[in-house]
Amino acid sequence: MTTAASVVFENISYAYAPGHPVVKDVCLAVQPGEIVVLVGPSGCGKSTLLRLVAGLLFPTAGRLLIDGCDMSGFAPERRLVGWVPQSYALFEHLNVRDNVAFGLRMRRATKETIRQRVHEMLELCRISELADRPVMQLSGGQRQRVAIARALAVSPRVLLLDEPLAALDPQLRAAIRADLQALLRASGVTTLFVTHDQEEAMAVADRVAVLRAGRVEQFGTPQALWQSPANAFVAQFFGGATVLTAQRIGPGCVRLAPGVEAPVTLDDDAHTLQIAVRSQDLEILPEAAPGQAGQFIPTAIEFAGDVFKITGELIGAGTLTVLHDRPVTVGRRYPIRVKPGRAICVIGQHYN
Amino acid sequence: MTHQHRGATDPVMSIGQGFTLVAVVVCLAPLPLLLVVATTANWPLGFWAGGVTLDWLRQGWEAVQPYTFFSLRLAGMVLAIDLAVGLPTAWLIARHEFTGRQALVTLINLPLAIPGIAIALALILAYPLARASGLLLLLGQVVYTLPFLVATLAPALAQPALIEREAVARTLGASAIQRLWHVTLPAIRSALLAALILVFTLSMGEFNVSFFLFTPLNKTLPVELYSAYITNRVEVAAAITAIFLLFVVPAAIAIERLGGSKIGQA
Repeated sequence: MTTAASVVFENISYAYAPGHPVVKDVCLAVQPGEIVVLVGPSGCGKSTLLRLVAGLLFPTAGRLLIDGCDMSGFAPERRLVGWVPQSYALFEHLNVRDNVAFGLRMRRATKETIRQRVHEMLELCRISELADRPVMQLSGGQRQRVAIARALAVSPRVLLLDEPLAALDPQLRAAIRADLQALLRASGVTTLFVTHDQEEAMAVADRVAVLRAGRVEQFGTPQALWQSPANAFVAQFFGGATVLTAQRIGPGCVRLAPGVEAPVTLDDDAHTLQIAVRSQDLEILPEAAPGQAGQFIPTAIEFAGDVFKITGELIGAGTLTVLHDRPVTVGRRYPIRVKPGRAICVIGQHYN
Repeated sequence: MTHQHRGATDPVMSIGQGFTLVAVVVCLAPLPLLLVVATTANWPLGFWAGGVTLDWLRQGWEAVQPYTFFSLRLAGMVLAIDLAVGLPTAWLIARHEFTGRQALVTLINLPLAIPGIAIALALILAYPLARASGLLLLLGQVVYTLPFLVATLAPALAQPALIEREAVARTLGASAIQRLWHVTLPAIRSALLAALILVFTLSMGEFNVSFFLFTPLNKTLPVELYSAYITNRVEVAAAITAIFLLFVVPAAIAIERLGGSKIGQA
């Protein structure tokens, strides 16, 4: 249906004001038909990257290639790239059908082509029954679908989605996210998807690029980023981990804190290393448990349905969060250890 | 508005409502009176003394007819020039950051702070030769009305949501002209319409500048209205005023309908 194209960022930099780049030397190669999520905290330059692909901005350095073709000098109207901004930017004086038909009309498609293509898009995005509604009357989720249908109607080579779920009610977000992913897969279009939500990134992406302050910190599959974060930022921001410094105490074994040891996979022999500890990695033991253990003093308890998220101080290491099946007493000392059989993730290790 | 609230009357609110009522009566009372005077055969003797007549209205219309058409034509020309100058200016101010942007805004708004008489005198001093042809009158009215047009259009054009919609239209393949026609104009339609009616009404009613710049061949309706008060019977003057309101009031109502509160604010 769409002819999906590759998108290549070659050392792209962009500055709104001279000397203050918001995008710094970005290199990414997006495969045709791939869904790549750009994730990072606000102000990391992710929306700017989308605008660069759309042609609304031009890089101050580097090259952007779409389908192998250098885009410098190509205005947005000649790029065939669909852009869905966070606000959706629907044409409020038009109804749903005319919004979807807009691009085809501007490109002077024949009446029959427009009728047929609009019908297909309304079906694909499951908004056929809304076709004659003014867009002012639509809900957030419906607006999102209209915006995507409008962008897809012209058969873009690349689809750019800027925080497509941010404007929706949190209760609806997960369901709409699954629908959106199915829709993107069905359309087969190469998609760049911006979000600040790592959970959303993991759920939707073929590959994820984690951005910080205009730079790509790591680019890979969600699993790869989860299992082997390139640095502490990726481990914290994308993996939701607590980063601790651990001592190597033997081949394949590190000490996190006094009494807390864990097996790791290592490919160098540094003495100290950074590890990413997630809330699932540790377990709080009954107070009288025998055997070697560290000490943990809970400071806050959050009930999260079937588990409790317990934040506290791991003596000799730092603050971290542990999942536990029962409430604990704040301020009391509990024995703690790494769950048996659990391999702790070492930051900066390269897995193949 | 529910019945529960009716019992407890807020004294401050009541005083406010009282003042509003008085103000409305004071402002509106002249209107019916005007119509009574315009249709009374011999006003100095009292209400409808000597019977009801339409003679004054007819006589008034005959007296001001040429000036009415002149004022309409002048307003049309002012409108055209304001639009040709004001729309691009409003665009520039709304969409571009450039050195001297603030100076441009100040320059356009300057006539708002200067009395019309001063504008008129300045124009006469600067371009004495342009007065006879009526060109100066046209110029004076453009200078006087332009700030209102720009101040109404610039905020409408500066809306971030509109700028984003235009950008989306670009990615969908719309050319600059297509974007202007299919995205920008529909979005600023009511602001544009309101600005045009505002300029039209201001031009039709403008007195200060016109009084100094008119010539016998280029005389506007308000200036003629003034002459009528000076030289004619009060009944004729009332009739002419009623005719004048006939042109201006519908426009004022239309502006209010289009969201009058937002108009003319920079």
